[in-house]
Amino acid sequence: MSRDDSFARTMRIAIPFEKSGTKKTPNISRPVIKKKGTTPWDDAGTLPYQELIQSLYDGVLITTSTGQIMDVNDRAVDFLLYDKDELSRLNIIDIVAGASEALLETLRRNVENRRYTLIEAYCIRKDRSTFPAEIATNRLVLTQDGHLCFFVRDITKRKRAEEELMQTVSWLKEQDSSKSRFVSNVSHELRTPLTIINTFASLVNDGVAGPVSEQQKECLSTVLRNCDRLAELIDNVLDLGRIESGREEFHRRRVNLAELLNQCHHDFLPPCLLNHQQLNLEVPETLPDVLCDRDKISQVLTNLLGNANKFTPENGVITLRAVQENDAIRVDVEDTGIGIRPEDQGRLFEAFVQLARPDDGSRVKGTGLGLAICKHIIGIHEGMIQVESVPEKGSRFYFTLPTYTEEKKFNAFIGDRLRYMETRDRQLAMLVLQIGELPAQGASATPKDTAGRLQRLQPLVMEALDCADEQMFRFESNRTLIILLDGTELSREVVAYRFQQSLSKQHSEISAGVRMAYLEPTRERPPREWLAQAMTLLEPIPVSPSKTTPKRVLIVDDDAQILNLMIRILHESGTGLDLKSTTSGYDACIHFGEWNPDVVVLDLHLRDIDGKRVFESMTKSLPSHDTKFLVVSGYHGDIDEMMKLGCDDYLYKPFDFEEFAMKVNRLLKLIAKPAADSGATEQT
Amino acid sequence: MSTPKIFIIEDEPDLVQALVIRLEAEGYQTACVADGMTAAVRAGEKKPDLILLDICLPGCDGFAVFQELRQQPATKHIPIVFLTARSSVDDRQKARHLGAAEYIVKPFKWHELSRVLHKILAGQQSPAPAKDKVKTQDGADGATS
Repeated sequence: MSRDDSFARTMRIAIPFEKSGTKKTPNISRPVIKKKGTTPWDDAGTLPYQELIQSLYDGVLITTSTGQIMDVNDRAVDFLLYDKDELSRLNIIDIVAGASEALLETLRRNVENRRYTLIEAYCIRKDRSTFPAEIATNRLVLTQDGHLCFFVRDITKRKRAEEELMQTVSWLKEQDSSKSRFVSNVSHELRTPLTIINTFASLVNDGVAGPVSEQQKECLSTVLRNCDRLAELIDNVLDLGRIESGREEFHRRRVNLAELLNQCHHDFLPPCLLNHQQLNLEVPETLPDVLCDRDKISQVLTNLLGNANKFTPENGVITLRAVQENDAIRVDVEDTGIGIRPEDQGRLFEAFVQLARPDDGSRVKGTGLGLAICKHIIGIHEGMIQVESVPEKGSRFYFTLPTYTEEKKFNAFIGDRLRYMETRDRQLAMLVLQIGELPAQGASATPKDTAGRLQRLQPLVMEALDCADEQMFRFESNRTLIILLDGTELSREVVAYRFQQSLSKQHSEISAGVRMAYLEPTRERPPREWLAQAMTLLEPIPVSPSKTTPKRVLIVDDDAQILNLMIRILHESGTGLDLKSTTSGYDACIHFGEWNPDVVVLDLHLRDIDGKRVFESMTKSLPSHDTKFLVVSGYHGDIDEMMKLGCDDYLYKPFDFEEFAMKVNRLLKLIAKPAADSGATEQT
Repeated sequence: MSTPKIFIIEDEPDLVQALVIRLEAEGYQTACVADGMTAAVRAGEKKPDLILLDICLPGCDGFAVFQELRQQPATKHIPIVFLTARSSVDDRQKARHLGAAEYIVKPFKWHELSRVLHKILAGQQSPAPAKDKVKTQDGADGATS
């Protein structure tokens, strides 16, 4: 590779060049400070940029737009171990591992749009050793062609720290999961002897092993009660372990909170009645829906009401209340019970905290885990849970839940599934299906149509991918269906294959115009951004590669705009069609004779000849060829006549493009399956 | 009108003993096996009316035993109740998917187990046509799983 030596070897940069462009030391039109001698500016009022460049921490390499190195600063020489002359005989590709012409092209394109491009790569030293570097690229306008400027920063230390960090993280993860496994195993091992104790004790208690005295019964019932307590403790340990480790599944949806509170109130009336407590319910008449996992919030309420029930004396009052607070609902569980000392309130939500209680002689005791579980559950709901309490007066536990919005639901939908997959070491995949835009001709576009199409598409997708309703998400009044899949099982290729086998093969009229994107979201970016990215990746859903000659459709319509739309729709329907179109009836007849189409879409009102004559000429010229005709007209009379003449189907103008695609596809299906026609020449 | 026979697949001898005492006191016949490997064969010999099945078994796990029981013609239609210390949602779902009659977590309350046995065996004792129906249903389940 010969190098253009005409490039200036030394660097004098002041960007941009003055229009005159003749001076070797161009002026900068920025603040020019006249006080000479006292400033670092030179006589021309220009900063000595050479100094600046030399003093940079980063290595600087200036190259031509093709990557040929022109100049470097001393730092670059230090980094790369080449001397300046040697470097000036190299291309940037030679010193950046893995760099290619394609990368350069990308850089050029980026810098043209005045964007910095930051890459991390290994740089190659003269002795072939490498070091990790962060390389920022920007454009320099020195001459007409433009130049590239690379700022290279050695990030060896940072990389090493990152690696150490990653190792620590993975070690911690391993520790954490082995802890979870341990908890799960221990809990399981505890259950077995407990079951045996429980079974025998109840066997004796029920008199199966012989008569039992009253005193013995009393002893046994204490054994049984403590068996229950131990069992509950084990359940709670497991629950907490699952929730803490994120393995517990959450399904947050739109929930009618008023109804849920009513249900809890109803459930707790009997135990409160039993303890001679009053249980009130205070819910405003209109309460917005919330976004939550109904079962989990029910668990929280049961826990709080259970505590209130346990720790409130006779004739006490327990109140269950809901209050709207901006975009959240606050739920209170208030009691007139024994209260909690201020010093205990802070650690109340920690696991295994058993509070010192006034000795009231009661045998009630909690497991010390209930509130810790509540806190985790509310945490996942992005709410908060707190307590206010005055000893001997009572306590008020309250938590908040977000009011329902579609956007929050979408975020929760992705978040819940991500957590689920992560803890099972599986990759989440997001499949986005979008119903194509099919502008209904004349009439305004109908969102109802797209909704209907989506409705028909949904069960087919569920069948093809064997997924459940809860894995799907649809924004209201939107033509996009989002499906979350187990990407480890259903890779992009598998999904494509399944669609080929079912959706596009058997339901082409529904899958027509549907586009899909498949990506694997992570936590690094918010769900919205993943969706936005998906929107840029949409492409027609894959069709089965047809082994036969593609079916041919000839479209004849004198309105070029409609013609284009029809072509686009059929292309998007993705059935691998060979299309020809014309606005002229004469041309149509010629194409027909030469090309043997399988389906002809024919507008009856053409500018040059009457559509009916085109039809007659076509059928007469090739009576043996089984071509299907779809006629289009705005007049009922025309269509009646044409149907009598032997047309296969019709469309009234203005028509819906979805209907159009459906009809064409139906006609195509009627055609003798393999292209056994001798007349048809193979198309490539 | 013979007494219903319950087959217990469980490896904890103490629990087996408790179950046997209790079940026999309630008028059931019992038979037991303590390992997963021979469980299906033994069950085939005993032809019980109902099987209580643990998941954590030596030799072979309860789910595998379940599938083996479902494949053998002799045990194909016998209702199976999981009786296990495993309480995770995943295990419950798996059991339901396989077609278990019920899933009971240890420690259990006697009346809970008793109610389940009554309910399932009452279904079993119904007249012949209903039994056939149960059989065909089971067959269909087997085909889809």
